[in-house]
Amino acid sequence: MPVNEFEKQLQQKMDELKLRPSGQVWEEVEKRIRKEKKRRSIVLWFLLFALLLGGGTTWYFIQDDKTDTTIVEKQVAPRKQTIDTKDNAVPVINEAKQQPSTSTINNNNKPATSAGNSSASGGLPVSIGKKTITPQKIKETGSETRELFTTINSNKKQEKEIRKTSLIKDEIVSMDITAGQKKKSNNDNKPVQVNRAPVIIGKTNDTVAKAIEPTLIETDKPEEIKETASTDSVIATTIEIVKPAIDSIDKKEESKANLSLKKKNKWHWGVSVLPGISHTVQGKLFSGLFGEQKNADAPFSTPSAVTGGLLVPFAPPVLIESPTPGFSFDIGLIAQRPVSKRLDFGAGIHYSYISTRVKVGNKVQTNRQINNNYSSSVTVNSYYRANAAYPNNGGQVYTNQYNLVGLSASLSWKLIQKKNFSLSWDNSFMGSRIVSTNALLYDGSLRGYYKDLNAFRKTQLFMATGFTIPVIEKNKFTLSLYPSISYGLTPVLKHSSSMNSHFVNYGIGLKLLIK
Amino acid sequence: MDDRQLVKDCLKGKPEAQRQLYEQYAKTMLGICYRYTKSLKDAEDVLQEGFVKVFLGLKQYKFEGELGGWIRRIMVNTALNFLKRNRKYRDEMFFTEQPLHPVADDNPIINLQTKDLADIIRQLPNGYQTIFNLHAVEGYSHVEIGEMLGISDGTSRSQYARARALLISWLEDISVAYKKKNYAGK
Repeated sequence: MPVNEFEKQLQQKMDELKLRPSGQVWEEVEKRIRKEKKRRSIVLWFLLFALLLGGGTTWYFIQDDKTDTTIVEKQVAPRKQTIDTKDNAVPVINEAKQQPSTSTINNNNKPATSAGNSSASGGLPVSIGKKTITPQKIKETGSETRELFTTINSNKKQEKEIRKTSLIKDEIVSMDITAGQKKKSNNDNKPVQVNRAPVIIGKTNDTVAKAIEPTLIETDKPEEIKETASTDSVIATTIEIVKPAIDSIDKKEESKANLSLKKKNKWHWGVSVLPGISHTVQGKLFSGLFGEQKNADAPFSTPSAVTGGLLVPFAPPVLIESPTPGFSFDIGLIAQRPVSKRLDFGAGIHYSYISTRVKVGNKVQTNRQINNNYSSSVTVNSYYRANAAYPNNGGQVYTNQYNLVGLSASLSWKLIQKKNFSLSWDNSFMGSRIVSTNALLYDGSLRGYYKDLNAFRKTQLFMATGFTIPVIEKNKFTLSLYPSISYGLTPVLKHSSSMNSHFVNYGIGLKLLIK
Repeated sequence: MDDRQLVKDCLKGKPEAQRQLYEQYAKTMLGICYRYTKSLKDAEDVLQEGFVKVFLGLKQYKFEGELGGWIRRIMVNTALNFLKRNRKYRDEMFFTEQPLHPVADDNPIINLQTKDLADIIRQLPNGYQTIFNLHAVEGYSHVEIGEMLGISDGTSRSQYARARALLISWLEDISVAYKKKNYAGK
């Protein structure tokens, strides 16, 4: 009989071994598959939601930065006005708006630029909103100068008149006149002609800029035009016309609302402190919190211990005490700003302290070399014996401590907004870095606990959810309570496929936001 | 329905296909789990865990090799993880430096029923039982076992030799007792 005949027989016999499982097994399997798929889909949806919110928020801020200059400008709707003289109307670029200019002027194929030139202006400037209108002068034929705009006091008659001459019967809130376009020499020796069309009509609460009739600029003398060009003649005008306002009261209210919105959009700074309890859990999301961790191993036991003795097939017969929850706290410098009526975006920088506790035996001061999955070889000067393996050596409680620094981004959804009570639902992600730890790992051959910093995944990503309940709301600050729970999406150890441990923190914190 | 179609239907989330796959392999897989554990309940726990992994990781099966072999590997790994995690198995590992019993025949003929043989294997200490199952039944080399369990291949060899010797001595005892019983009966 060959040497391995015994194994062959055995293998054959064992392959025939079939046992019928109880019906409960399938029920449980089916239940868990459904649950797991549901959980995965929830996580996916959550990530998608977070991504969309993040994208939307980013987009909002980018857009906001582009347009946020003045309240008035938000109300501005550009219109077209042209002053045609010949075939080619050259658009004048409106410096305040994104859309191309509304006013065009023909300058005999000469592009008009909108650069302010106060030297070319004459008369007193008119202040409208945040813009200043400076009456410009156009040099007509010869040396005669005429003011392009004059300012008069607003009254109904004048307003009526102005409206008549206006191309649009809209109220003008903002007006921008740029000057400085220099006439260049007219090589065609043709007279420059400006059609009859109103150039500008401006009105604010206090001031109305009266438009003059378009001036016919004619000359038979190209030399004069040349001369004109050499002087600072103004031919380009940029006009901004706003959409109609119902009345001045509405406008004021609107302005106030806009001001208030602008004020609300400001960042609110503050601090947060979150004392709580931290733990490390294995396997399913939050399984350790709800009593499903009965089979959980010591989270940091290394699966591959190199044997020191002869009779150690794998994990040695040593009782490993699972870590128990420890104290944790988080201090953060936070900034928050509303992105909509019900949604706030927040960001912060945090310091977190996480701890778990483990029962260990006495400390042994000796040099030992340990091989594990994380470091090819690590030499320790001392280690702690496993308490259960040496019960007579006096147990003690060792605290695994982790110090983390990280950045967070959060979205806060205002669920309830009442006078006496308000409640927000906060969701955040935090990327953290373990800056230091004294946590112990378990080694089977050592039958004890030792330290190996290489074993830990330094960068940790946390997902947190919680509620914010303002308890003190003053004009200058808001103090809120926030119960929160966070889960480490990344495993604590680098290679922890089977020993998949994650941080979990929960607690009730205080948040102080300065308005 | 062939395995390929069965897997595809399972991936689509069809409950009847999932049930069929389970029914097709559950008995054999429970036999495997039974060999690695000390009780039927634990074996069923491993089976349950293993099948959850099978269904959730079915996407990873690339139709290379038999589906049964793929599921079997998952079951063995699940069983090993179960033993590592479960405190009872760690606590009950009793390794003693007892000398090896002299073994008359190194390759005895096994006259036992499969279930009885499995029960005898399950009487081995946990460490011996695991290594014996991995090497003798699953066919893993000692180097592979060393990698799986985080031990050296030499340790695996020595553990296996001890397990084998112990098992053969038990089988011989049973055989002698059986012969005596038969002889007395005559």
